[in-house]
Amino acid sequence: MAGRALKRLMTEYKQLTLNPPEGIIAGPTNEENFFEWEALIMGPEGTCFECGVFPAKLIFPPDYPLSPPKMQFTCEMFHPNIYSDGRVCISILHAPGDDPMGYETSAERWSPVQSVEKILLSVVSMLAEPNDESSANVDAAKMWRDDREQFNKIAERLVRKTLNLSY
Amino acid sequence: MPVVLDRLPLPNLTWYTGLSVVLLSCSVYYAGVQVALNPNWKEKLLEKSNASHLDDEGEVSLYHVSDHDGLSQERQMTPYLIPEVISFMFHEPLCIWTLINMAYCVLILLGTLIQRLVFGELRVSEQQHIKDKFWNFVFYKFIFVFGVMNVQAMDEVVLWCSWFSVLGFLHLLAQLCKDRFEYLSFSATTPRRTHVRLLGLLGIILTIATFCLLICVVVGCHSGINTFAFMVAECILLIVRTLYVITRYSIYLWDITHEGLWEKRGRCVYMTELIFELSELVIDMVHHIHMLVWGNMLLTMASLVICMQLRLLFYQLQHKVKSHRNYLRVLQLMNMYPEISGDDILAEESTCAICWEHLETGRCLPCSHVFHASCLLAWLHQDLSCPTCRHKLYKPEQNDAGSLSGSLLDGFLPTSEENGMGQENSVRNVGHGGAGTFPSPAAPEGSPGTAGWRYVSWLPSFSVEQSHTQLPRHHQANSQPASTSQLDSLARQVQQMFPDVSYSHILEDLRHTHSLEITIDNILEQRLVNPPPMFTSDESSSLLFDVKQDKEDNQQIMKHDEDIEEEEEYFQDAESLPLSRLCMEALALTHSSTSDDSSDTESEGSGYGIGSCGAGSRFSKSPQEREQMLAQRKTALLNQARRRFVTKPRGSNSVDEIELLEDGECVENS
Repeated sequence: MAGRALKRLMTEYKQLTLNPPEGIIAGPTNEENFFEWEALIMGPEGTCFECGVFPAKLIFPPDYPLSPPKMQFTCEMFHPNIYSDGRVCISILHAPGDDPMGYETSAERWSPVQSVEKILLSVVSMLAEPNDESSANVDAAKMWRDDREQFNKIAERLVRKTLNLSY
Repeated sequence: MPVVLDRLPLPNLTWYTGLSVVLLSCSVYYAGVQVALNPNWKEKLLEKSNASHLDDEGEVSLYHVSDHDGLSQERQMTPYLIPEVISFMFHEPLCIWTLINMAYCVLILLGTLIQRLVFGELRVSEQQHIKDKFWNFVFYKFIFVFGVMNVQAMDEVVLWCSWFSVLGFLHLLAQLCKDRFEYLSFSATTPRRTHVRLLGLLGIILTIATFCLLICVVVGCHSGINTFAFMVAECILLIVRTLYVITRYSIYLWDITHEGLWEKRGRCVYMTELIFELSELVIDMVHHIHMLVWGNMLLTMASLVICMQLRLLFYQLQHKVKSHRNYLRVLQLMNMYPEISGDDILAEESTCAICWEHLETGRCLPCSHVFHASCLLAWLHQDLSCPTCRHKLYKPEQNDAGSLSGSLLDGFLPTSEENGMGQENSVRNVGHGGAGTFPSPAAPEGSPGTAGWRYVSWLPSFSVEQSHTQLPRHHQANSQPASTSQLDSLARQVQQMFPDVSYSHILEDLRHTHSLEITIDNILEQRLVNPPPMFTSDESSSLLFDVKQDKEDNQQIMKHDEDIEEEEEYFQDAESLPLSRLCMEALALTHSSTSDDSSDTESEGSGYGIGSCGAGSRFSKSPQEREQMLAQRKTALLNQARRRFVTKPRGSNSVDEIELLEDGECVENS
């Protein structure tokens, strides 16, 4: 299994290196283990996460691309669709079989056609537009809905933190 | 139990070895003195008891002899006393314990040596695995020896213990090999030496296990069929496991050293997996049943433990068989899809979307997406849908609710996949069950792009209600939102959002897409409002449309002008779903354009070191360089973000921060 996954990951890595999407960098930090990547995602412009550089860990299963990878932010995050431990909750990362929130249609979920690039792009758009219907972090979702100003403040603090600037 | 042991102040290996050696020499000395003092100890001992002889492992005796040599010379003993001393030691309980202790010490040392030679540093997960496996093994063997065999005599216990020690040792090594192999398969850069070592160790394990099998036969001749069966089961399990790892390893090595795709590979891997896992489970199960039946201990704790284990094994076996049946079904389904090769594959589909490798021959799904047969098989085993467009594929077979579809046509039946996600389908099935008839799809089996189109993109809630209201009227199997009231309400919702789109167009589109979201998407992307602009908007990619698709587009415009009352015709003619079809096409296009990109980058990447490809950097051949470059790019991104953040027009930023930023950059550069 893993041989095929390895080939595909290599191709994706190559593509992401040669043709990186704006504000996204991803690759295995240590090639001893090609199934664990680190990604840096820059907060999309015009949002409260603007300019933040958020590190995340991507863990691929041995049968990738048949099963989706797992993604977890390694920095502190405050976002309706990110669990407090950093795990990302978006439908593209869910296997067609499981539906933890019970709201997604299978069309939005993982399929082998998806790729790391598409995942990261969806995460970027998730940062820009949280989906507060399926909240992984209830506090964040509530604040996003009711007290946007406070949310923006927290987001800015996080952005400063990821940039190692004083806050 | 292991937790407690972790906290105990266990001596480390050096101390333990030293202690064991000291103990052994003490006992040898003691034995030597005893033999020297009263040469006729044997007669005395025989008078006392008729203790039976006990052989321990050969290596220990050897060790003992060599150890003893020095001592005896020093004490000027005649060499012929040595066998005397040894046999004395085997009769003296104290000496036996030191011998056993020494044997374990040697085993541990051997293990450490192998670990150093083959594995190097163990990873945390490997250590954890080994620990778990070890305690599991000890626990079950304890139950076996004292619960099942009900061994009472000391020497028998010792014999069993030594037998299981050797086997357990091999088991642990095999487990370690397996873990390490799985880990190595995650890495692209493993030196050949490591593979050779690991395979060598596996070969040695296999040889020793075969040797153990011989021992089993010898012992079995003496002590009956039951003991033989118990011993053999354990041996065979070990052999099967080792062989499994070796086979997987060879397949993996073959896979990474050979370029291109090996069409039969998936099949091969699946079959070996199936055979090995099934045989392992069956052997284990028979072994446990044997224990339960023979042990004569139905009402003890041991039986409870064995029953639990049996239950677990049974579930695993059941799961395996189930998944295999599913696999066979998928295989059958696969044969319905035409195989195409070479020229038939469109240029934009020249790579398989699953493995991203070049596509020479592949299977074409009804939605006209092409994949490698092996890739497709692996995916369909998991989920019955087209990976690219999510088009649901249904299999010609009776599902679990066989009563309703069993006698029906062997066309495309909506069956709920056992392993999940079939919520909407199963709901639909209930609806059909009531109606009792299931119309055959308009098109013959397997012809792409016809059958099954009507199942695309349902909202689950639709099927529940509609299948009841609609079926009696139309005998329309697929639970389309035909009840116009629902469509109306949906259309009205959409119109509220887009007041400038005509109501009839929305209704029309809804009828095809059956989904609020897709219709809204269509409107947003102007696929619906004005058919002519759609062409212009698609112009950039229109070169990828072939003539056939253009024709369809024209068809679609015509359809738009048709009266909306002709809904029945749409339902019967699967070809007449141009809009949803177009969605798929669009999806295919976006996909193909990405694959085009990838092929572009391939060609750029092939000129390593030139690195002139716009925004991207180059892709080095050496892993170290790649890692380094990745780190550099990350730092660059961080710096860029910082600069942007600080220079961003905002009241709160101060000059300090800009200074701080420059400081930070200096630090990072240095």
